[in-house]
Amino acid sequence: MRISIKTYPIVLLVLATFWSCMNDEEWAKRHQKLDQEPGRGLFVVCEGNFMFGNASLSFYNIDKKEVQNQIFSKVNGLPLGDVAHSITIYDTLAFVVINNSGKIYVINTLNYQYVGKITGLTSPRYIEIMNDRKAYVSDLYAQSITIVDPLGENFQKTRVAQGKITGRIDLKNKASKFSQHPSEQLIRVGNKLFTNCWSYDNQIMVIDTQTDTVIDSIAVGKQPASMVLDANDNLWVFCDGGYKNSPYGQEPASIYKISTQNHLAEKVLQLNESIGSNLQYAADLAINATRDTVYFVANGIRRFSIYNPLPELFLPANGEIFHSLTVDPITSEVYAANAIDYTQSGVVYRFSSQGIPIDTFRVGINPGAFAFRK
Amino acid sequence: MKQFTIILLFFILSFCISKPAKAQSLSDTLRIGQVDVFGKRIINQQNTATTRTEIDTMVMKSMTVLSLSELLSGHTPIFIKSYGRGSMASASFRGTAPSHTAVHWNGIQLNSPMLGMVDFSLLPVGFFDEITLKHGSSSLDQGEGALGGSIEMRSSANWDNRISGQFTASAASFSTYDFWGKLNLGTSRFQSKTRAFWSQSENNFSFRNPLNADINPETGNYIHPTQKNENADWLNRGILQEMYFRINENQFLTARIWGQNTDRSIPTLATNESDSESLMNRQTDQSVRSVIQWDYYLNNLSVHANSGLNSTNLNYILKTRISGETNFQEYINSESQSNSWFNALDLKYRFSNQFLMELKNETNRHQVNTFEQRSLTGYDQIRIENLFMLKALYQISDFGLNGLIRNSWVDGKWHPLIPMLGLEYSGWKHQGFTVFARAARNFRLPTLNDLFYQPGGNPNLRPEKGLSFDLGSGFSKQFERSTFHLKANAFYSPINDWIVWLPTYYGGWEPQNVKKVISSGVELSSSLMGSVNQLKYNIQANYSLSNSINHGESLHWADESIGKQLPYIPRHSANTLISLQYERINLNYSWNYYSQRFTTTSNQTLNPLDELYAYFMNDVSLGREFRLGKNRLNADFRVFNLFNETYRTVLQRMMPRRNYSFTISYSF
Repeated sequence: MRISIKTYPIVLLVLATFWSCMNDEEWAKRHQKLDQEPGRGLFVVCEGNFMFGNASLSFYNIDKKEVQNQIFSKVNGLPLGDVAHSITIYDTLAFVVINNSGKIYVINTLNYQYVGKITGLTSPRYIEIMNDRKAYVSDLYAQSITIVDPLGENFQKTRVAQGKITGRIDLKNKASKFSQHPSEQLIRVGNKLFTNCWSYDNQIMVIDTQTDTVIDSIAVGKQPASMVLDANDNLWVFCDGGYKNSPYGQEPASIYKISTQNHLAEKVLQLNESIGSNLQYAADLAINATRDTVYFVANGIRRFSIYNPLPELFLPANGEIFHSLTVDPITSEVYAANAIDYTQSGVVYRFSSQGIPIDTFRVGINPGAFAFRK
Repeated sequence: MKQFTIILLFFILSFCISKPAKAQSLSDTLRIGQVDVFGKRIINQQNTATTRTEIDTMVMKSMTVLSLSELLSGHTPIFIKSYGRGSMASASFRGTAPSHTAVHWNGIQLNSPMLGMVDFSLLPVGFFDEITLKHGSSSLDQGEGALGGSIEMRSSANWDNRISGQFTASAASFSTYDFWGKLNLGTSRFQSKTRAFWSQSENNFSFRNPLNADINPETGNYIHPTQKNENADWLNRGILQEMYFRINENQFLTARIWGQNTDRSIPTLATNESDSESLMNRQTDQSVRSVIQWDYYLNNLSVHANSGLNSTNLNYILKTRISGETNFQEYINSESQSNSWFNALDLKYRFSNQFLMELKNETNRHQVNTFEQRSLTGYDQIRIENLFMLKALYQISDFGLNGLIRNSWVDGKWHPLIPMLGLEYSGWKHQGFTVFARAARNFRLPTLNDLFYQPGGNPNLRPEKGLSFDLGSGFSKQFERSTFHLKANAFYSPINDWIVWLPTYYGGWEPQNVKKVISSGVELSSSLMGSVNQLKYNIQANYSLSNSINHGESLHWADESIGKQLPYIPRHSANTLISLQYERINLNYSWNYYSQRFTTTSNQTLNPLDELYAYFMNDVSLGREFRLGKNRLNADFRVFNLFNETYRTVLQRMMPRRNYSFTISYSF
């Protein structure tokens, strides 16, 4: 092969023009194939990695023991966003809160189609839906609860959700040197809405849903991270105690019980005492179908009866670091997720209420939240 | 793989040229200042059995107003991970982490003692006269810890200069304006070089966002918004003053001071749909660097001493204005100050023409003070290091030997010896061939953030430890009117205790010594310079294969990361530059390519976000020189992203489509 030097640069130039980049549409289409799965199932929200924008949604068919991953992007050709934090089911709609994208996607739970969204939020964490026209959204940064119209006025006609912000409930604690009060989970009991203030905080705020005002705040342990409501309308609150060398201080992780009637809080468990000094980590609360047994992550998975809160080992860790936990509200089966190295597909384990393994399946990156489809 | 074909084709074509061209190379048009001959002779010997890449000064000259990130990504084997136009850009050299690339400027290290890395988007090409890449263990004569390699930026005096200068102004797309100036004044005993730049941009390019969609309520169709790259502006200013004193024929004193201030916004990810005044990121980088250097030459002895300061201040703010409120609310306001004081004494003695020894000691002090005002967290730590190096170069017959040993004492603790040994054979020099082999040990201490950051810093981290093996060859051929160079290098480097920041169960991040990584690959570079009649040409091509494979222990039965390429490291990268000059008109065409990059440790490809597709960038510039007596006026029109490609180097960070710049430069 002998090419004249004169033609050499021209050949290179021409060759370079023949190879062009792929484009986003072409890229997305490569992955857009999915069969819809009817029946009862579990949505698994996978956070993805902060600032990667690689959150995803999985669906696990409980009867068939089959999982479908990336269902949102496959059906809709769009990425879910950056840090999917929670999911709330409302009739046949799922509201998936995308924390670091400032939005909530509304998805049809049957075919996973995106039917609309609520945008313009700051750092949303959870949504509690009162009715078609009113919902509350908690926020890590805004120091307020955002009131939204979750579906918009034309939803019944167009079936397209055009959610919008309609108001705010100020939570800001001006007296603190820390950015208090951030809001997390939202649990409604009658006309009261309870939210836990996690980051550098120790309060459970109580909001009157008729007047949309803060009516009380309840002090608990440092950094209340997770709450469940039991059969007697008492709240159980897990406080992670903060982290080592935190300027807010650190204390042993604990579990509080709060009466939603009189707002009295009682420390029920101090985990280093009830579990032992070898406690390495603790997280997440979940409650069973009859709402009388509370499960939580603590060197494996433990549980206690609400009538006799002495934790028993439900499942030893055996090398697993469980990142999140849920319990089936009908069967009381337990689902626990391990994020492995947090930068690859995580694993979800399914156990019977007696702790017998039933199934194991892979989902997306950082499985962190769950919701059941009826 | 069809992209790979292009790269191979270039190297094949290089060997198939039938008629070597006749004439001088393009580089003879560059004015090069006087270089100290004694110093250069030693430096040449020091290159024995090393892998180096000198960046073409013509390329540097054509990119005066651009940043080092743009220069390195387009013209070297280094992968630049850019978070967007004007945003932070970090380097991966030989498939290693950003903190594994050491950056030296005239004797002091620019890597942050806090983060370990350098943001290349902040470094202006026009502030340096020469840039050299030292691959892998070739960097050990400058310092330890550069597991990937090092980048050295240097400046020097032209003692013949009396007055000269250059002023450059550039206007580019997205309201981008750059000004750069240089004024050199001096005598045969004193030279002053002053350089300054101003760069500002709205950086508000438009793009159709394929990652977000509204639904048309009537048709049900998606409407992808066309939006601006908002909150992405920058203002970057800097000044560099250098003073060179020739005390006598044997002694030189040099003083340099470089001040810079960069204020920029960092755009949110493309999927963000918070309020337009939510989650606004603003970062200000201020730095003052100064070095005083004394060089002494006496017979076979040369002594180099320098003392330098590198002070940086980084302020990062995340703020939001909630609808209905008048004031912004800050969620993060962090202030990070670092002060490094470098002191080095370097003695070189030439025992004979075949034998040279070098002894070097560095005593450095680093202090980092960080504080975040909202969470009230931070740390204040000092690191003191004493570094020793003994180096010997020995030439016997056709064999050259390059050996060194380093030892370090950091914060009261001795660290393991670091030896390096290289052997070069030049027996086939008359046929244009040289071959070499090199082996070394290296290790890198955790950064101060790795150890002390709040929350998450891990004081129990071990240093990263590595071995490095290189096998290389060079080929040069001088034709009647052209010159051809080809360099090929293979490397293999196992690194233990690789530090990775991992999320934790409590929601924060923490660094861990989790991985054993084997970095291996091949580097090829070639150049052909010459002329055909009145047409001068300079063609350069680089190709790099970088396998960065996780060989650590499995964390879990389902862990699929073992044996996989590290995230965000392209396996293949390549670039070519074709420069043509006809009389006073010049045409430059540059092309660069990065292969697919995975975003997960398991290299899974379950959805479009698990990988970034390969991309090709084509830039072209057309320039004309006008002579105004002894002075010159250059006008240059450049097209970036010629084929209007969609591409990204980081997930969801939008990059601009085709864009333009027009530059005028006046030299005297």
